[in-house]
Amino acid sequence: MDVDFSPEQRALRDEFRAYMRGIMTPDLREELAQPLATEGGGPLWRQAMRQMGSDGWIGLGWPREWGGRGYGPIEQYIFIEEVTRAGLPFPYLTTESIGPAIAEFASPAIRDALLPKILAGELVVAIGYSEPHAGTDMAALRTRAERDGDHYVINGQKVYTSLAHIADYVFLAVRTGDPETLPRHKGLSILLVPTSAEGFSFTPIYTVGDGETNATYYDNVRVPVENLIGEENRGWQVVTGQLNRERLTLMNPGTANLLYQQTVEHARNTRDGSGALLIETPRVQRLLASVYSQLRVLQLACRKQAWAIAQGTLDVADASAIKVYGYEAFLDCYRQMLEVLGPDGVLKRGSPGALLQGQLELIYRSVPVYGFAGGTNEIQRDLIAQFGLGLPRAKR
Amino acid sequence: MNFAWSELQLEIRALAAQLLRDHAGPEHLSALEASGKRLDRQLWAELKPAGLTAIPLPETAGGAGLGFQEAGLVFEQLGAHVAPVPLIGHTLAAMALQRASGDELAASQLEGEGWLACSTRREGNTLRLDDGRLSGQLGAIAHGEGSDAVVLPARQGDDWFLCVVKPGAVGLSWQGQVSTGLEPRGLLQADSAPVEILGDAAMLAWLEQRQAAAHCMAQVGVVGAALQLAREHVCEREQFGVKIGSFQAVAHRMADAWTDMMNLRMAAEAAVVALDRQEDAELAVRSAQAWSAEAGHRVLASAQHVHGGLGHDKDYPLWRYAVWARQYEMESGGLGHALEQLGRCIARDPEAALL
Repeated sequence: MDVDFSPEQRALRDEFRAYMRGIMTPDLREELAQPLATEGGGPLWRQAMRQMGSDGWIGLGWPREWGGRGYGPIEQYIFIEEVTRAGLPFPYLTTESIGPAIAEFASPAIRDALLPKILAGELVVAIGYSEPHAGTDMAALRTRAERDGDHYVINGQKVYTSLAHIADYVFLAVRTGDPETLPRHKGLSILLVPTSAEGFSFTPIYTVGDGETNATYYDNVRVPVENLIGEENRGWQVVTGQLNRERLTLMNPGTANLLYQQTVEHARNTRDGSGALLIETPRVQRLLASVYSQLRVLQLACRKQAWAIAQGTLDVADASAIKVYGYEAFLDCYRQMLEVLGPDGVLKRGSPGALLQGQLELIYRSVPVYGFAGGTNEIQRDLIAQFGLGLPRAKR
Repeated sequence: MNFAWSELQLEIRALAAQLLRDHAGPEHLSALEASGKRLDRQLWAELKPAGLTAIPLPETAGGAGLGFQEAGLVFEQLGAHVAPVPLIGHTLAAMALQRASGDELAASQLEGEGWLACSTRREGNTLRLDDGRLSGQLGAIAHGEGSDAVVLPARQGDDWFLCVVKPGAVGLSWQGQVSTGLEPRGLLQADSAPVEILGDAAMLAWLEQRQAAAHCMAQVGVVGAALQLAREHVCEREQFGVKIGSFQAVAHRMADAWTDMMNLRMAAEAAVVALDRQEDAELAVRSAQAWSAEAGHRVLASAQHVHGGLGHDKDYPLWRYAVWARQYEMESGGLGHALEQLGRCIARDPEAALL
């Protein structure tokens, strides 16, 4: 057993970590700190994305025939860990999850048009699954698409369509089947909807973590049939494939690792009321130790998951356990890091005396989203019980 | 990266599992426990010729010539079967003797049917070296009385040393103790007894890390076996006309136990792997200890809870895992100690503790 990266993988990580230091200019950081720019979308962010695209860093793990660099899941994981560590809001779902779904399931015209743009850092795709009445129970969604000649006509409403305000397309789940004969997940399809389409609109939903997500509306939106991803009424297969690919990006400890490092730095350079360096006090040592022991295991589990994907042996229960645990670990670790910072830890960015640029103040507000994003943890626990433990299926 | 065990490693684990399954089944354990002494000399006599009692020692020292990872896999099986043998103490004492005195002396100590005992405790340890003689007191030495030799720490001036004594030597006396896992322990009184020094505080730290990791791997076995019993129980037991495992409240508690188990295993395995490569792997060992304490506590509480009364019935095997999980949790000081040591380690060298 060997839990470390190979020398080549370490070299790749070091090269990319150095590269990302160049990408994260002070101006870009300033732009990202502006209200509602925390998830990207500003001009400098777009410039950085194009730069990473032209330097060949996007699609590191894509096969060469799609224009990627042909690396495996472990290198892809390294990429994600380092991007999150660098603090760049990166449209992972577009590059790591939807892009491959398009490559696998889209019509040749769509595939050939969109894949190069994704690789170039020029295209963002939002995901439109959730509806006001269909969240975890996604198969209950009501947004409909009717076939009309060479087009589908879409009517309905989605909610929490994140990135829709900066996206070029929405990867939209719609009902195409007759609910009588093709109920629930059997009658779903995936359509790629341009955000420029007539009848598409959105209204912002501002979130507690200084982010913006959206309600999106589809009022007789017409999209060509070639925008169908996969087969009609077989969208569930595309969705589950996409959710599986999302695994590498969920619960990545990169951001937490960086904030832990910065918290340690703070503790090395700050004295408590009695004049002692924080890091010399048993209280702070215990907090840091607790954070380390939790994040280290998360890091190892995530690496093992990437390795298992590379081996083709990823276990459903393992993946769900990482999802459940990652969320619990983030909640607990950010809280303990804030405790190391003390009362000034909750000062907002820009306030005199704010610590770590207010990053922990911001992140503890946004982190609860991980409890349900990517599949709520109650469903993950059901999956662990069913596939990991072989328990009879739980009643919902 | 390679998170799989090799074929050889899996074979060793399977061999240990088979021997312990055959010779340390629940009925056998009950009979032994009724006799008041949880020590199975017959089982020990099976393990020794199978090569499972000195795995990480060179063949020239009477060992199997393998690494600490392989030893860890056997410790895991020891835990999974709550086997009543002095395996961990023996293996660690042998490692210390071989490191201090070389292969030949270690090999001579491993001959015969006996065993070696080992303690790395400093807390509550008043043993002192004075003029080449040992005086003072040290408690809770597992399988100490009756062993061929006991490796233990003692102080000289302000410095700790790792030493070895013959348990029957003049000047040593023993009082029997019993641990929560019903393991025979001994309170050792020394009065100017003959003693041999094996190494300094650095060697004691070297041994203590390995002992802590060994207990973590045994905890992996204990917790895994308890989780398996709980799994079987909730798949069988019916209430209100359905299997209780189909209740979401039960299933989710079980899922959390499964997740704890995944993390404990990851942390413990990373520790034994690190110890095979590095003299000092304190970050990995202390993290594993923290997980051993937390996961051991939580999973056993859940396993007993879903069992109801059965989890307390001494005719059903779960109680043994409950007491041994606590035994291994507290053996190295528990969560507070693990985090205290890990925190000191981070403070000492923050650059080495980055993630």
